[in-house]
Amino acid sequence: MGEPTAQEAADLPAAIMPAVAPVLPSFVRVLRVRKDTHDTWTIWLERPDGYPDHRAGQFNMLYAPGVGEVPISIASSARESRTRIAHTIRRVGAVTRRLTSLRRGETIGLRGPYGSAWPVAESQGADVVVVAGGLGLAPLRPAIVELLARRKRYGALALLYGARTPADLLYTAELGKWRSVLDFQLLVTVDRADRSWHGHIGVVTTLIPAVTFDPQNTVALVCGPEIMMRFAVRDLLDRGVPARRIYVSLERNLQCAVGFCGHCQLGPKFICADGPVFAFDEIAPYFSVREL
Amino acid sequence: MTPPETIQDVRSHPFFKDLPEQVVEAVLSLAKERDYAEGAWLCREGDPADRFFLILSGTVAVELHAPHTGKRRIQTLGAGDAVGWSWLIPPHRWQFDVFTVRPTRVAEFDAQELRKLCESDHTVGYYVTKRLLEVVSRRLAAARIQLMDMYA
Ligand SMILES: Cc1cc2nc3c(=O)[nH]c(=O)nc-3n(C[C@H](O)[C@H](O)[C@H](O)COP(=O)(O)OP(=O)(O)OC[C@H]3O[C@@H](n4cnc5c(N)ncnc54)[C@H](O)[C@@H]3O)c2cc1C
Repeated sequence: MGEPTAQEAADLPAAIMPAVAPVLPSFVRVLRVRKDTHDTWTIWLERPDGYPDHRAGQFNMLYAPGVGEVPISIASSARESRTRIAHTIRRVGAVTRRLTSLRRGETIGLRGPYGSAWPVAESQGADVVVVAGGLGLAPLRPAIVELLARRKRYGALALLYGARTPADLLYTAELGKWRSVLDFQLLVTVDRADRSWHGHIGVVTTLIPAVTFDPQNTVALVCGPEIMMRFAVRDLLDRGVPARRIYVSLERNLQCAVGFCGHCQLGPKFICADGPVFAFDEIAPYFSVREL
Repeated sequence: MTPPETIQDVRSHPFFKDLPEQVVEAVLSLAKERDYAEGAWLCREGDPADRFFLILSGTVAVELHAPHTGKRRIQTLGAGDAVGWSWLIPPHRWQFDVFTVRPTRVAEFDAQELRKLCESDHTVGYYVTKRLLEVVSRRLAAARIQLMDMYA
């Protein structure tokens, strides 16, 4: 083993934990609604007064009056706008149904930003590999925007994105733009497609061997359904990326967002108060990876 | 005779990674580099599996067809992948259709010659079989994850 590089020596934090946000919601207007896929919408909300600059990976609690409140990741970067905040929402139940039926001008409750963040600034000088599955691209989007905005400060950059079918791909216009960014390895794959699709077919983990990066000096950001993260993490470890440099976002159900209710407890950790972004070595025992 | 730079291309294919030199040499002596235009067939389901391919560049699609649902594209493979193991296992018939979706360069092996080499030199046979088993195992794992419909 040679000398550790500067990046290896500078210990990456277990989780990036910005200041705690207020517990009471502000009421904000819906500024724009876009349908992304058959079950997913992006809504832009006005930024409340006094709302701090959020970090990539954090979430807000969105409250649909009379229906309920749910955690939703922030899909935009604070760099992009000081007046609005984007959320990409999949319609799965009562609250998300209401949130995805909102029209421009309607009002909902928002509190946040909460939770830990992706180590974007902390990864400068390293290679960064982003692995997203399905809706997992939403909380990674602000990280990608920030990485690309300061492209020169990073080594190799790659985004591996998998979805069920081509029709389930999020942010297709933006993917098109990212594809033309020099020095950015963007690989997209789907599980099923007809012949009109000329891209990759196969699970997102099959893309990992196709990207160029230096495993020891790589930070990996992984988000998607837990089963996908499990296999992606395993393959990244196999490739030689250290467990403490692999970050995952656990978006399991949570309620209070401030560590009171215990609903989202994972071993000694609370996803809401300690997460959702964790360094993998921290949560490995509670994550369903058996072979390490 | 295959030109030397061609052999170099094929030699760096992951299929040969960490194999003993004499095994690599023996297998490489049967390699023929070939270019396929987009839309060319490498294998057709039910046909004799008379060749083995290592993809050097490009993309191929693996398809299966069923009478009612029509063609289903199961997977794509690219540079660094191997295509087919049916050539090694009786009855030596392809189980899938494979065709190029982009212009594709491969190292192609005559299945009969490669089988003969594996039979006559069991060291080569062992390493080739072991490597193919790794390919099969990875594909099976990927197919299982795919079955779970994990993005749902
Ligand atoms: C930190 C965090 C960030 C999140 N970010 C997003 C986001 O950006 N976009 C988005 O659409 N959703 C996100 N979610 C999930 C979202 O909070 C839930 O989908 C929502 O709470 C469901 O509420 P509901 O009333 O619509 O459905 P419910 O009636 O509560 O649930 C409907 C179905 O969805 C399942 N479900 C509920 N919550 C989850 C969950 N967290 N994970 C998996 N399955 C679940 C339930 O088991 C049930 O089967 C996030 C969750 C967390 C914890």
